[in-house]
Amino acid sequence: MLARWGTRGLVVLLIAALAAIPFVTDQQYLLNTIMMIFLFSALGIAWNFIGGYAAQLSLGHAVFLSLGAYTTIILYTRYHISPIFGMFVGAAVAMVAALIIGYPCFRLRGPYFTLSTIAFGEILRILLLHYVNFTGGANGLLIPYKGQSAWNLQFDSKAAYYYIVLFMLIAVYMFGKLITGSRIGMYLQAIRDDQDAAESLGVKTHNVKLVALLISAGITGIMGAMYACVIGFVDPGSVGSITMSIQIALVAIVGGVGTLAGPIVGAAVVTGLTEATNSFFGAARTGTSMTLYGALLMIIVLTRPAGLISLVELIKWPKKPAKANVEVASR
Amino acid sequence: MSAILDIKGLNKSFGGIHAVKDLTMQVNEGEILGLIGPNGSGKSTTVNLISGTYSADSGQILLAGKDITRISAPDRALMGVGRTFQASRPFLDMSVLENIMIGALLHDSSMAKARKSAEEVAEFTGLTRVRDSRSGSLPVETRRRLDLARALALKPKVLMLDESMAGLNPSEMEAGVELVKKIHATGITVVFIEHVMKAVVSLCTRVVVLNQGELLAEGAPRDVLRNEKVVAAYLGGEGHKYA
Repeated sequence: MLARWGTRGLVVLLIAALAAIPFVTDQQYLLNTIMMIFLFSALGIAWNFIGGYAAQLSLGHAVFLSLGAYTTIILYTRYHISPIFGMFVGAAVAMVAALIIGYPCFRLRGPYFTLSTIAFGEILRILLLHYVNFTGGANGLLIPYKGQSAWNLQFDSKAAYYYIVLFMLIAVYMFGKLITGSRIGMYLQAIRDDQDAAESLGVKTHNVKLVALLISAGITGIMGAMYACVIGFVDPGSVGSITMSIQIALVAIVGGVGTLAGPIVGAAVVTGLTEATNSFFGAARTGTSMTLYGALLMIIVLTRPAGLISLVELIKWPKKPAKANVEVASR
Repeated sequence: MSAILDIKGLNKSFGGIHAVKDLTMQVNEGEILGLIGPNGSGKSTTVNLISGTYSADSGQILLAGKDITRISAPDRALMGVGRTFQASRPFLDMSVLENIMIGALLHDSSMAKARKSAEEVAEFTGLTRVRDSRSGSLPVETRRRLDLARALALKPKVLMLDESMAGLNPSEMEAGVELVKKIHATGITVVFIEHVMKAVVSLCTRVVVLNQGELLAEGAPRDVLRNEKVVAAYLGGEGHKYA
């Protein structure tokens, strides 16, 4: 109990410290970097619902991200619909795409889902490039700045975005906590461990995986909309590329698949690494960050396959089960 | 006695291997049926076909008169088909109680109700003391119990135990046999797949023998174990020890 309250206290302190940062500094670069860590943390948690908890590797989350982003921007620029509503429409569109990918694929076992996510990602990227009148093609879409307005999610200062994204990360984390402790969360964990055994116990694995994908896509769509509002611009190269899909997956894999805190650690490492390589090597060596991602991924998969978060769990776990085992053995 | 499971002309092939050939057999309501045979005789495939883990190439499986041949494994579980696996397969990252809850959630509408049901099943199967242990860290005997408890939480009509005594020492096996008797006493029909003839003889009211995917013999345990075809195909000299 004490440990639990200790952890909670630490989390509250951490949130308070993060919330205090904009008061301490007005460095836009620093705020932007931390905000990107928040954003990718939420994206990583969303990816984890399907990639981690259901163990269905998605390499196409850029589909949901770009659908959320483009839908929101198109609704705002063409129909003057507030991004606050637009992001939910974007989430719904992303969920429809998830249904189209997931419904047939989850009937099969094997790499079909992963392959479909890659293929779907590529199809969407080409469509975004092709329908120039609607999507702006390779030039992308710009959100015109109409002055500070909370209704339009447009602010003069980065700090406002910072707090919104921090709030969204906390909301996604709490939602994740709710899901993992629920029936669906337990079913997902069972499916990840042993699909046949789960089915023999009445778990409708197809439906459960589909629900996980819908949740994942919906959150990713919302975060995609927020990404668009923060950056003020989207193009197929930034939000619709496989690089983006890999970056979302990487955040969760590096931090820890099937955990809620893992993607936050992963986002801090991956985003920090990207910013560091960009600062050190600049535009002259643009492939350096990807090379470092690859090296980092190999090191983590080989040394800590459960992700960096497992370093913390390593300290917490063994005591209780070990005691119980002694009891069993002595019966 | 009426048949709770009625299997008619069941076939299953894996590539060129005909694992189950035109199998016709019944499991009567309330009995403990022993399903025996040499390795590769099709016992586990039959269990997988009945539980829906595999789909049959042809033939029919009736559960209490209802055709379940084309019904999915989860729906069969809901209808009352429970099973354990040959190799123990607990959900490793979950606690013992959470493992049992997965089964209980099928009938219980809330997590609280499922937890209560799981606690009752843990008590029934002697797992209360280890209820909070992670199942990945359990010894073999406890894992076997957990497999059984998980399936029991489904409230099955038929429970198929696929070599649930494998890897147990004599005293653990004795405790296992007692647990199966206790489960049977609650009115659950049991299909007991086993190589340990001592356990088969002490538990089963009837035995079906499979060989190369086909039904070789069936009847009372002592009669079957004396059957020359069964002795030749499976038991060798061991059969007469129990006959």
